[in-house]
Amino acid sequence: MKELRTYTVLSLTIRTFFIRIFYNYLNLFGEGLCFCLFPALGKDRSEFIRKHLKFFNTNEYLSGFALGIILNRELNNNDESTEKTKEILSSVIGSVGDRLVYKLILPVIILTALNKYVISGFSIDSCSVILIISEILLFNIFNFSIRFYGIRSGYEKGIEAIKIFKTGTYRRIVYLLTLFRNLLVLSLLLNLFLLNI
Amino acid sequence: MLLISLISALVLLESREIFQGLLSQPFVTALFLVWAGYDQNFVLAAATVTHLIYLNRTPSGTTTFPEYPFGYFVTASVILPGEQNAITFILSIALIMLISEFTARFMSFKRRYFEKYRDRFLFYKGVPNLTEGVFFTFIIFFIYSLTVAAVLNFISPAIRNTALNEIPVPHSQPIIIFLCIVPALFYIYKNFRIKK
Repeated sequence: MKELRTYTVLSLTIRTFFIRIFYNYLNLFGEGLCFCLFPALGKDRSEFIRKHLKFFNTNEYLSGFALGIILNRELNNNDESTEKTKEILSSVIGSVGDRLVYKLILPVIILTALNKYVISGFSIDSCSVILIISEILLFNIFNFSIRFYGIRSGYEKGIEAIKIFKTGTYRRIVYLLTLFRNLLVLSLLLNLFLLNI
Repeated sequence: MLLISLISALVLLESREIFQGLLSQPFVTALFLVWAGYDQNFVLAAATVTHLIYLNRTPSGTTTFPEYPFGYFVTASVILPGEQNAITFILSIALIMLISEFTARFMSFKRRYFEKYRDRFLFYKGVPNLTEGVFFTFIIFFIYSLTVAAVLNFISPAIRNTALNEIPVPHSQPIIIFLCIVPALFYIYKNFRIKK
């Protein structure tokens, strides 16, 4: 198997931040996928474009996994299963990503900030500023790392990489995030009632 | 107004097209508005209500997703400076929702227009130009933001300089808190119910 250099992985990771620029209703992320994979393909791109400019769906935060797995198939001449793999990735990564990021991580971050705003009576203090800056920093570290790790892991392990979303650790993380999100929304309600008294 | 439009275009670009690192979310942009001298009570309360209304929505597939970071920023920066009361606050929230929904339709139009890139990929076989794509998107967003800000600027005197803003509204704070509680309860209903 060809080695994927760290520079190439970094270049692919940065490109995933722009994957939505080419989002459209004809093939969703199909064009974005072609754009993101160019640095790893070398000069023979026309055949790749012809093959991959089709319907493809993903979640932008987990797009690294899709990129890594498709690269694994492409660079290691595993052509016959690429279409099937793309179908699996379109459904799995799209739904897992939406549930993880939009239903759990974002609500947890947003509800934490909103709780702070309500506790401080809709005014800004230094604690609120520190909290929000820390949240943004932490989220963006996650944002970069998950894309980088996804590309590397997807390329090395192929379709096996997405089994990470079936592990016990992942389930425990999802369970804890769900619990935390529910506690945060309940505490927000409580704080709103207390603010009113 | 030019500065507001410029920042609004950047907010729309960051929230929907590139990076998506939370920088354009209302709870963050509210901080900038407070630092710019806006009334922190109304700006933060508006951010809270906006977030709670849209917290349960997921930008997925081909469904139109209300662009609330843009709706919040452009409305709050044009409408919210100066004295406010509960009536103008409710009107601001209604405007944020209206602009967010309208922007979702605009984004849908923009995405259909971007389908032309497919032909470029197929027939010219060139590397898609990212700078061109981002610049093109930014220009479209800027023109759109400028139009929305101009419309808001045109209607804002009707909210700020009329009797609406001078009516003494009793229980202003409880009304604002009630506006936060309703979407929070709806969120709990949506997420806590047992699925059969």
